[in-house]
Amino acid sequence: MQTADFISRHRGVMAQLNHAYANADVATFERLITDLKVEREHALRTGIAKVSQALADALAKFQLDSRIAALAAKDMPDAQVRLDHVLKLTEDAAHRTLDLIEETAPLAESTATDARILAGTLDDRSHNDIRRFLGEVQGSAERVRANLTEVMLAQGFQDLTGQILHGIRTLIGEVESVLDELTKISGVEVTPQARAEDGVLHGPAVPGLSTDTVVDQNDVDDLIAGLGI
Amino acid sequence: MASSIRFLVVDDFSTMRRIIRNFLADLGYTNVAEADDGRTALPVLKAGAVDFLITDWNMPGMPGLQLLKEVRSDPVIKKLPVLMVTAEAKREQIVEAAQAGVSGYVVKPFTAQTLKDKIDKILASQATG
Repeated sequence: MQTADFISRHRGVMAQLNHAYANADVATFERLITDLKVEREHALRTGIAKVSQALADALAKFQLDSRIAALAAKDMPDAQVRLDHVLKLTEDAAHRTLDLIEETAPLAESTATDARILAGTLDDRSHNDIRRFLGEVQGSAERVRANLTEVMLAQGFQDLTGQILHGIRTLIGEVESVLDELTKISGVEVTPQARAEDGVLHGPAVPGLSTDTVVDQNDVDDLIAGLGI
Repeated sequence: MASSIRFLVVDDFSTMRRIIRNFLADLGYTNVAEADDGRTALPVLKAGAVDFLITDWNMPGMPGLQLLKEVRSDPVIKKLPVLMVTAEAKREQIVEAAQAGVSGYVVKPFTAQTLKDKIDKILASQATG
């Protein structure tokens, strides 16, 4: 199609050029060549203009989206702080559980031992109820002791989840630096309004990030009381 | 006696060190030291104060595999039993650890029975070897 168009557009010009050439009509020949050159430059200018416009549109679109800038400047670092807080919460919870296991396991152990020793001192022909009861106590205490070992091993989740969170934290850092470079190139200014805040529930408070949050239940009670409830 | 065996538990997570330490105590091993990576563990090992090493793999500073290689290349402590307890579960990694001379390999999360079996097996082979 383009070829056919090209041939039909230039057939007349070629004939005129041939004619001018055959007749040594230098003036006409030069004018025809100049016309061709002007037409070619015009097409080129139109093309460049189109590309420039597309580039300007793309840049404008990027600049408009200050959400990207907010992601790089605020949301990504915030996400890292949140993950650190999750790491701390799970670590604290695991240690608290281990504290309680260490405190409880010896109690279960000594209860089982004491029940066994006491049952041994009782006369075989009497105290049947008490001996049966002591047997049950010993069995239960041993079961509690064994279960505490399983609960202890289950706290290993903190290690596994912690390693995964560390990986995600590193990934967020990498995305942040890429976004940061992009926003530097585009020169977008970050405005506080750029964050999508409306209608978002904030969830658990994160120290260092959450503002205007209560510290503990006493804070809540004070606040409620202050409101006359 | 079994209880006189000196263990060193190396893991960057304090919860995991504590879990393994407690578990060893349940088994009757109360002589347990801790380190948070290979770099802090190595001087303790070189001082000859350890009979059994339990180490994680993925740690900052010096990872467990490097620690294992350091142990195996030291003429004094090269025969130390090394049990790797790690979340690294790829076959090629387990092969790599085996080639570096690991004595046993436990993937997290593990059961009490698994950890006990591996420790017992290594100690048994120590006794006969």
